[in-house]
Amino acid sequence: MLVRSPLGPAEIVQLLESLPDAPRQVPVWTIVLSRHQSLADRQRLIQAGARHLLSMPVDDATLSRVVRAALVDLATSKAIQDYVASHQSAVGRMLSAVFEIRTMDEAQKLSTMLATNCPVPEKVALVAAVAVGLGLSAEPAVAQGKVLKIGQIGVMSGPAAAWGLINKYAAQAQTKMVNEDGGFDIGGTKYKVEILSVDDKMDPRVAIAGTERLIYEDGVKYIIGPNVDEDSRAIIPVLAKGGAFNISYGWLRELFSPPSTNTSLGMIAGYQSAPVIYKYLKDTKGIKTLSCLPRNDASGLDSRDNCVAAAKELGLKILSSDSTYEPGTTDFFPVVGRVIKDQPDLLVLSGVAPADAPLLIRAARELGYKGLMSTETAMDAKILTEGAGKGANGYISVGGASTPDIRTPYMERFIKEYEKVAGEWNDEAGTKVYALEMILQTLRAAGPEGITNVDAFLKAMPKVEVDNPFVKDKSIKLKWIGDSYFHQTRQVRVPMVVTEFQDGSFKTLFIGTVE
Amino acid sequence: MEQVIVNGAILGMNYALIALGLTLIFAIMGVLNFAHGQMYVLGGFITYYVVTQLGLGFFVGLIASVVVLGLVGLLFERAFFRRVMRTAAREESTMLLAVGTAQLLESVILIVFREKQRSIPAVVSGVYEVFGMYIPAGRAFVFGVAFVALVTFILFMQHTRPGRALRAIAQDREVSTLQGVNIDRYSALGFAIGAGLTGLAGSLLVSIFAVNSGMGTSISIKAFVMVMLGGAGVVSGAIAGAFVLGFSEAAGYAYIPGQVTYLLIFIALIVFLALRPHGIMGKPWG
Repeated sequence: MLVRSPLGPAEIVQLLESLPDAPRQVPVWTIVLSRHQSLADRQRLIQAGARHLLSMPVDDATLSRVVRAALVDLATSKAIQDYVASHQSAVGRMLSAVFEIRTMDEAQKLSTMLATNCPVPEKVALVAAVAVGLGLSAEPAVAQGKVLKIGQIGVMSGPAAAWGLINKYAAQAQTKMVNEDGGFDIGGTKYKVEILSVDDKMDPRVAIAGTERLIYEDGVKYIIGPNVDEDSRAIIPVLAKGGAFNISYGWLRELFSPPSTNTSLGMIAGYQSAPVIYKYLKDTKGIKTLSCLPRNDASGLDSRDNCVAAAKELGLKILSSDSTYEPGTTDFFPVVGRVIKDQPDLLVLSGVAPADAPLLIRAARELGYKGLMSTETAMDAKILTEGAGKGANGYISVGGASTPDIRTPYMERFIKEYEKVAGEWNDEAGTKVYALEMILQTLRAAGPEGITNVDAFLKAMPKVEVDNPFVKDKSIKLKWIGDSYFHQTRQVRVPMVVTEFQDGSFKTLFIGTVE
Repeated sequence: MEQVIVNGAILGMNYALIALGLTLIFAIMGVLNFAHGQMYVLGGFITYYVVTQLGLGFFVGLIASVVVLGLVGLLFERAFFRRVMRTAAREESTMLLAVGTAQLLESVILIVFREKQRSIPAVVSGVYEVFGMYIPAGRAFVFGVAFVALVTFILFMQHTRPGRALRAIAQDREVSTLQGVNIDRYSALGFAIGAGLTGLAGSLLVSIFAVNSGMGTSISIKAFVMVMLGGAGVVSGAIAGAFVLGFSEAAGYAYIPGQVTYLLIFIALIVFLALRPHGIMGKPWG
């Protein structure tokens, strides 16, 4: 039973106590929404039988989670079913009816109907009374003990540990939300999700061994990660042989192009975002020259090549692209000094790791560079603030769904869960939130067969087109794309949220698409 | 060119601070401390925590880093290295132990301080422009403090009783024992000072660079390069090695493509060590 009172908690307590069958005597969840709840009020409400106390205003996602949890309890509790069978009181009558609430509109309509049956309708507005009786066959059953195992592999130790850990924390936070909501419905059965994580140490050999473990020992068919090209390339044969599928954060086109079929790109690659960003800066800021500064490793140099290609395409003059820095560099003064001596209009930190970006920015500003700076990767606002301060103002990067002006309450809830899992929010996670969602949505489209058969999953991929639960703009659907780049739909449609750092947070410049 | 000299000098001083602790521990114990980089990282994180989470001043963080790392060094020496050095028949055992402590520290740092990179605002803000050279005030400050620390350390080693004892142990452990030097006590002190110096380096440099839980190994490698270049176990050698590496990096990044800078540095190091295996200031007899 869900109670919202325009009066105070004291009146709700009075209401609960005045009901013919006081909720404390009924083994059913009573959810109370009110504005001001002191500690004493909360204690009295709980003593009166309230199971959940929510402070208003409450967002749809939180309310929905609590109601779904109540439904699961109602569906499985023998005590409730026995109670409903033996009572014909007001509460009992409510419980004996079968109501299915999917939206807040439906809840409002239901509340109107239930208000007429409320013993004290003049004092309280019952927004919704959720009652699921014995006829539960239409409601998806929570699969007792049925668990959907999803693998997560990535670098979670060493210098690049942040990359894989963000994936891990994002998957864990989202899993917690799905499970709290009662599980994920696939073909009428609800599955709890379990994440199994493996640290590949950014070593292809370890990545292969880890993938084999996930597939053959844990029975995993769907894997999030790895984070880098080398590891992603190494596990392709393992995935093919083991009949598994992964969403990779490496960028190499060959990973996602035929004959490779079981790997998909989980984010926007630098070669996709770079031309869009440079064109935007050319059109709006009038940039004419740029310099690319990559890290001296495969991913960094690949990003540099993409930077050069995109700049040439747009007719921008490249002043420098041969300078690099070693992984593990702490002092960027010498390398940045060389790159900015020609004062390019735009300094591109090609494929820069979030850890290096603030130091590079700080060095550039301290050396008197006044131009623009950008990257094609996701950054974290707190790291930028701590490392570069106001020097990072104007820095352009690609975010996910984390800028406040575009995110939904569901994304807000994800951020809160992420904070619980990881200790604090990381803006990079806004780009990593899509992988698990896409795997689950595609499994729903494929049906139960897809859980064990990746071919069914692959066939269902083109059919998936659902609302993006993380961003407000409903025109940005979640689906698989990538035909124009990879000749097959092997990329998650992550919105290209181009952001600008300003005084400690990111502002959305524009939302682009790779299509 | 002027900027290259400034960059090289600042880089060299920073590196000297990092290399000193490593060479001291090697001199006293004969142990290549693979956990050196992780100790540096821990020093940085402690200062970060004291300054940003506890809201205390930078110098409180600096002292906290030196003290905590000193205690960590003491703990490592007493609990691990002393025991293994007494019982192990092979020298490789201490090396493996050092690798193990590095892994241990890295994991603990990752668990406690998480995966994010951390840094604190520069203690002194602003940039000085002198004859076309850019000198950030924060770097100048670190240079100054590092210089004072370096001089203090050298004076301590040259003119105090514990310093002389440490130098004696570094020269000949057995003869020092015969002369009445308490090896256990001074080994522990040496390890603690070495680790404390590393904490000082981490604390100072977190204000101009940053630390993250996984950067320890690359710091250790650079420290090994400096120590081997200057002469393992020789304090003045470590300082010389640090400045050679600092100026090489600064000049390399300025005049040759970045991709080959470190390649050339390592080739030069190999050639140099082939010709002079004991480094710039090391002695052929060890």
